[in-house]
Formats: sequence, C-alpha cells, structure tokens
Amino acid sequence: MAQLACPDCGTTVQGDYLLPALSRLGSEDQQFALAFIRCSGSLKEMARLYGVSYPTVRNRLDDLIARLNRLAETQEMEAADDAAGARGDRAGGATDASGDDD
Amino acid sequence: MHQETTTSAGLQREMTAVRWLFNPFVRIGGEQALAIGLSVIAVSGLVAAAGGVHFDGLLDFHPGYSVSFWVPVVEGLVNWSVISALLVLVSLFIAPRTVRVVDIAGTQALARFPLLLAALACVPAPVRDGNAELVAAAVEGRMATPTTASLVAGLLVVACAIWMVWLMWKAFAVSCNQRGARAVAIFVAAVIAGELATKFLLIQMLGRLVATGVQGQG
Repeated sequence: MAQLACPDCGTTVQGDYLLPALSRLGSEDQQFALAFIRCSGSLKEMARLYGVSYPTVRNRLDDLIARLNRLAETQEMEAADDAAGARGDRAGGATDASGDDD
Repeated sequence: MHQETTTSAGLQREMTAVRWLFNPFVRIGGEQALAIGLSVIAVSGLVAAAGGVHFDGLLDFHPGYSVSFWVPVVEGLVNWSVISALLVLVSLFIAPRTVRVVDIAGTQALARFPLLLAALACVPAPVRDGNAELVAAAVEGRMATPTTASLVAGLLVVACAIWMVWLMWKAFAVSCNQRGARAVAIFVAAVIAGELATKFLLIQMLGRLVATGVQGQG
C-alpha cells in the first residue's frame, strides 16, 4: 500500500506500507474470522449458526490458518527484501558520498 | 445440479439432493452422524438377515444364505469398527491435530447407509430364493442361471457398493480435512487393509463356516 489518508482532516501520508495479514484475506475469510470471534471461538456454535457439521467448520478454520501462515511467511519475506533494499540504498548513498570527495 | 451456493463466510452451502446423497457430511457429523450411522448398521444387519445376506468383510455383500439375525449386525459393527480404527490411526500421521475420533467414526458409520438399500433389495422372495438357488448350485458344483429378479437386485447391490465406497471416501475427506491424490491413495490403502483385517477378524470371531455363510443358519 502506498498511501494513507484521514477522511476528517484530509491529511495524506505516502510511503510503502504493509497491510496486516487479516486485511489481506478475502472478504469471505474475513467474515469467517469475525464470526469466529463473535462466537467466542466456539466451532460448535459456528456449526449451529451456519447449519453445517462441526468438521466442515473446523476444516474451514484449518484452511484459514494455513492461508494466514502463508501470508505471514510472504510478509516476512517482503519485509526482509525491503530491509535488504534499504541497506543497499544506504550503501549506495555512502559510495556516492565518498565518490563526491574525489 | 452440483452447484455450491456460498452465502456467508464460505460456509453456508445449499444442500442439493445430490449433495445429500453423495456428501451429507457437510451437514451431518460428530455425534449426530454416529447415532444415525449405528442405527443404520443395526437395521441393515436385521434386514440383511431377513434377505439371507452376509457382510463378511468391509466391502463384502454375499446374498443367498440363511443367517441368524445377529450375524450381519455383528459383521456390520466389526466392519465399521475396523475401518474407523484404521482411519483414526492414519489421521494421527496425516491430518491436523484437531481431528475428532467421533467425526471419523460417525461419518464412517453413516457412510454404510447404501448397504441398507442393498439388503432391502434382497428381501423379496423371488430375489431371496433366486440367490439361494445360485449358492446351492455353486456348493453342489452345478451350473444355475440367475433369475431376472436376482440380476436386477445384483445390479442394485453393485451400485450401492460403489455409492458406499464413495461415501466412505467423502467421510474420510471431511472428517480428516484431506484432499488430493495422496489422500485418495491413503484411503485406498486403508480400505484394502480394512478388507483384509475384517475378513481375518470375522473368521476368528464367528468361525470359518459362519463367516462364509454356508452354515450360518439360525
């Protein structure tokens, strides 16, 4: 994400931001996560709410956990790449600065 | 016909007739499946006895015998227990830790529902007598032509057997959250092991003659 804006004061901040893992999920996954929290984490209550069997809800949750784990791994890799890029930029800047002295 | 209507959170699915027939475990699992499934196994056994049918193996269905009312009930319970135990064992190695034994056992019990229809098909007198004549001819070493009633019932039994194996697979897939070729291979291996184990156990428990049905009369 490249820009954050406040709807009240109109302030806009630009940068390179990573969205939280939950925000990166699809809308159905987000709905499921919210319903799970509203049901106090009870899979039986979820099964009752949606009219499906317990293993169906549990499988959905297991799949969501796997997706979140993959997202977290991707995010860690992106963060590591960004950090490496930033180090590279700083090193390049230092080289340029030393080159100016010549 | 086989469409999925996902209305919320990727969970709430419309239960079409096809889904009820081929994957009821989306709706029915756990204790509910276990209660219905055990009732189905018991009733199937009683109907099988009335139709002269043995369930002498996980996938076995042998009509044409005279059996005590309790024998197919015990056979059905042994078949269900063995495949459930095997799949629970398998799930310890391949499935998430969240898998419940009651889901595996319950859905496997419910998956045996087609056997009830297959047993019912063998109850009418023309089918029962035709099957008995075929078995008697085989024992005496002579040729016998199947009656039309026996042939029709036989086709229905084969269809029900295929349907049951499909339900057993879906029960495994849902209760252990498994999919893909690796899961199919593991399931097939478990079914083969289950067939061998149930054959061995039933022969040990009921005696060779009763298990093969030749003298399982009562």
